[in-house]
Amino acid sequence: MIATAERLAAEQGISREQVDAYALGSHQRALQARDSGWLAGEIVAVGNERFELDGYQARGIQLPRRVVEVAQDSHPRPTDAEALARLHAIHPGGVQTAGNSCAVVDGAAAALVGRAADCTGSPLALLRTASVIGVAPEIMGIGPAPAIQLLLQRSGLRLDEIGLLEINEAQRSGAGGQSGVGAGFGAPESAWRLHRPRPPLGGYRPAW
Amino acid sequence: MSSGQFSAFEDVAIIEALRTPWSDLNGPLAQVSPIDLGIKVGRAVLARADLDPAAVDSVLAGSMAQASFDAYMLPRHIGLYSGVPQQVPALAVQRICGTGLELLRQAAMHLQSGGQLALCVGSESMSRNPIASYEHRAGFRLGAPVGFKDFLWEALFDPAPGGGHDRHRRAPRR
Repeated sequence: MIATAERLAAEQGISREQVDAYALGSHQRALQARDSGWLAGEIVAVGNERFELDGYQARGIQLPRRVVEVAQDSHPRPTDAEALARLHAIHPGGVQTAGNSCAVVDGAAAALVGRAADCTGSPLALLRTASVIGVAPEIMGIGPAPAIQLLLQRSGLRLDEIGLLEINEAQRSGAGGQSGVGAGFGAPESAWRLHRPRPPLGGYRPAW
Repeated sequence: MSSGQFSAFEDVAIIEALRTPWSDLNGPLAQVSPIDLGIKVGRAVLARADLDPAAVDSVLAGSMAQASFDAYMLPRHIGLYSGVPQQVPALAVQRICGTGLELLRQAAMHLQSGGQLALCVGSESMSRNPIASYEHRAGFRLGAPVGFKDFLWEALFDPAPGGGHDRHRRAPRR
């Protein structure tokens, strides 16, 4: 995944400074989202718990001694451009570092997908369309760009009708507006920010 | 020529969704199996939506690494221990980084073909990625290389385009 990001960075002329700046913004937005309580509604705290199942062995969660519960994301942290610039690139001469790559974290997420008509309240979201498309393995991180193009083509939607873009791409040089995925479907980074009604976390992702 | 896949859905909604905190590598969740993290959120999302687990008619779960010896049972145990009836099948979904989104797409296709309610769970323990060997079933020959490697690190490398992951690597400082 890192090699992919480095190939994209080289191909698209994405600099270490650009990657670090994006990572810095991502950490800052994540901290802001955490501290303002924006994320509280989506997080369930994890504590010691036993999961019973009639007729079968119980399972459960046992945290380390002295840990009562895990209630907040641990990865976003206060940092600055100088601290990020001091980190060594993982591949010599490259742009990806431990500071600007995706978080390597443990956790889980769940969603219930059902019929909007059956919802008693209002659903969190409607799932309208989906697209999937393959790209060359050596630049697999560019995948979201042609997937978004395909989605727009087939759905008849225009990019300027999209109010919020969240791109799941682990390495900064794979995402980004002026280059990488953003350039691939024609969205300038300034437009993303303007159109985003909530704190975008950017590269802050627990993905590969 | 076919180029990619596209689906449009009618009347498909994400009714409720939540997650655990994301906890850093070797942090306080490091010893917890991704199956149990998955059960935790499976139970929590049903409780928050105030839906009976018996209403679920498909369990879809994703987890990339095999992070416990009962890893094969991950989708099934998440469903069963979340209270979903035994008759309801559970399926593992894998699209690497895109697994989370793919779970939602698979759920929508399930509804499109007549299903009513899908429980989707993505769960991952990076900390429990194994130090693994694929070549020692028959033992260790004297003088031959020992094949144990860090799955978490090695799995970042796609051998198709090549380039030599090991030769270019520098262990990230923490």
